[in-house]
Amino acid sequence: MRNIILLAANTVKVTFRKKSNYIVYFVLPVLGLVLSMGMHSDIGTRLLTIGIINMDGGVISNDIIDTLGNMEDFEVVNTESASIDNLLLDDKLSCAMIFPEDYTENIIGGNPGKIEIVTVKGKDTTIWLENYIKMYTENIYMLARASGGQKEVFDRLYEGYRGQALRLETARVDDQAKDRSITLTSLGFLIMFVMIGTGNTAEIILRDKRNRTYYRICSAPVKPREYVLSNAVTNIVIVLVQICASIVMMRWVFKINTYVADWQMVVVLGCFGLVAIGLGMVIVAFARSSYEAGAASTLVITPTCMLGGCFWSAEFMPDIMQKISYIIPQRWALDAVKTLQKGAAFNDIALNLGVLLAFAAVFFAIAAYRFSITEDAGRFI
Amino acid sequence: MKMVKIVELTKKYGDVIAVDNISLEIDVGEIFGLLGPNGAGKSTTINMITGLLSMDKGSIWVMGKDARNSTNEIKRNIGIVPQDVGIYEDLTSLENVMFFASLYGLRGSELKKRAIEALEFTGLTEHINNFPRKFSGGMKRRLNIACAIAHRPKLIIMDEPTVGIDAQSRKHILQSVQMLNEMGSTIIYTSHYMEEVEEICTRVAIMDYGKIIAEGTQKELMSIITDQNSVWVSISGEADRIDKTELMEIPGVISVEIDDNTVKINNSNNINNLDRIIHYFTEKDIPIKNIENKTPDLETVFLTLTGRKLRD
Repeated sequence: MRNIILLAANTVKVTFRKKSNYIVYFVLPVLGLVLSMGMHSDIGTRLLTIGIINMDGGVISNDIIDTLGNMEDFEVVNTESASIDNLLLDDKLSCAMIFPEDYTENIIGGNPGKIEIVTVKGKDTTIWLENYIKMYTENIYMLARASGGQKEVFDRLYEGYRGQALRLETARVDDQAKDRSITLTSLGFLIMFVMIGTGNTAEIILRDKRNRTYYRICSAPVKPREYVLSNAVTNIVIVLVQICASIVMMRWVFKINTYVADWQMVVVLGCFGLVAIGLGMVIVAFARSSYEAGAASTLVITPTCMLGGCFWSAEFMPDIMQKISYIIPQRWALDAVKTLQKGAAFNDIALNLGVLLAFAAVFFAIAAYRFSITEDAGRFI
Repeated sequence: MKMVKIVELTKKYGDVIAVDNISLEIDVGEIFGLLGPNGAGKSTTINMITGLLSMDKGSIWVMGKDARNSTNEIKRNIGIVPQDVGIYEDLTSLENVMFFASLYGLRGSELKKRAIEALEFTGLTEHINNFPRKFSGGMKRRLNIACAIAHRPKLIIMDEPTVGIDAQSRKHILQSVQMLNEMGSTIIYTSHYMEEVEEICTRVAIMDYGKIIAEGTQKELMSIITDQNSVWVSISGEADRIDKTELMEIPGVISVEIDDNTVKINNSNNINNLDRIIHYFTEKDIPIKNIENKTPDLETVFLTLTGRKLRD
């Protein structure tokens, strides 16, 4: 144990003697946060932007659109169905409302059609809107039934209904979905930088081998496995500091509400940190040089972060890619945060944490096996 | 009790036999030289003694302990100076020595005291708080030694500790080796510089292709070639005009080696052929600057035993 502590302390000392490592471990994750904030530069407006596709054009659909447009917290934008996906993905729209053909006519006929509401930010964004539409539609439906399907009667009743001017108690609607989206994107970047950092720390093993300090360490009464374990301990300490520092930055510097208790966030990211450390160890165990390890890390980190939903929500991806994303640990970590953001209990992410720990266990087992068969220091003499 | 006892030791890398069934005994208090060209198996042997490499066959006993079972106990009493400098460039000299010494169980004020002593011993006192990245090759090698001796090991293994350094640092290191020996450490010194081995070692083993081809004191090794003498002919250039085969045809010539403008000719003691050797040069009109009759050295021993130069 003493050896592990001595080696870990020395690794930390040597690592942070290089000022550039402060950038890699702490500045880059914060820059990631800043970058993700930049991607959501309209954070201050807090408007729900609703894209409208009105295939009906009737009086009722127009009235609903006008009512929404007159509300303080909504912005209504006419749009084309072909561009909806892109606008939602680019965060230009919070959601889209699609009025079907003959919506007005059908509602008068007593057979109200369904208004489709599309969003990529979860139900939280549209729940108020859906309830409002439901209430409005029910009222109109009642008028239609009262008119017995006679258009003149309906028009008269509807005119009176409009004249009453819909009383709405309006309250400021904070776009929590946007905050959560920022949090998730920020976490996505943080996850990527955690992976880069853990990869760097694991590569210290290769650097020590190249610099012959590993040879000298192993010629002392130190077992190679103690050396490898000390690297993992160093990595865990650095990752935890990195995570805590980033959460502090998010919470108190950038004032982002993550909607997740800090300790829960540390646990989720800590579990992911173990996965990242295990992965870094696997790469180092198989790589023959720092160059190989660096190339392998790049090949693994970037695509898996993309696939795992670090840069955009995994739900934007085609079905097949979404299915594949479940073999990516980043997906499980981000899903855990999403679940907690929706107010779920910590127990509800037990599966996510279990999967992350299983990933970590598998990676550590592979690395341990590989290190054990190459434990003979002579491979590096 | 022997400091090191090696019995029928073998190590293979695939089909290549790096160490081939060697046996060796090193006494307490010796400076034991392991001489051989690059790839002879010296470092492999050392790495098996220190437990860094596994043995395929045979056994090693260090201070009476089996190297297979008591690796850590043995390591605690060994200080190894690796062939390549193994230090942290981002730690100061003192931090380097303290870190490596701490791995041998030293701690607190004793650790610092021993580290400073080791740096004084290697002449690095003035550079105690300097970073090795600014050091010359010789200074780095001295720090390499300081890192190996701070825990006062009973056995110090130096694997080619003077490769690529200036004459002054080399002299300092050789003096240090002798002083460490006087202070009670047994030294195993590997080199392919026979001058160094001749200067400091009490006993020598010559290795080639994984085998020990000769072992003993320098005197004992020289006795292998008592029937030979060596004539060194210094010429002023035109060494390319010398045909080794023609020289070998002179009766009594055993081997010929051309080193810059010096022709080194090993002769049988039984035949006086100096006049014919001189005749060879005068006939070819190659001016002779000097002729020396040299006592055979370890290089000659190696050349005689293997037909190759140590640094081939």
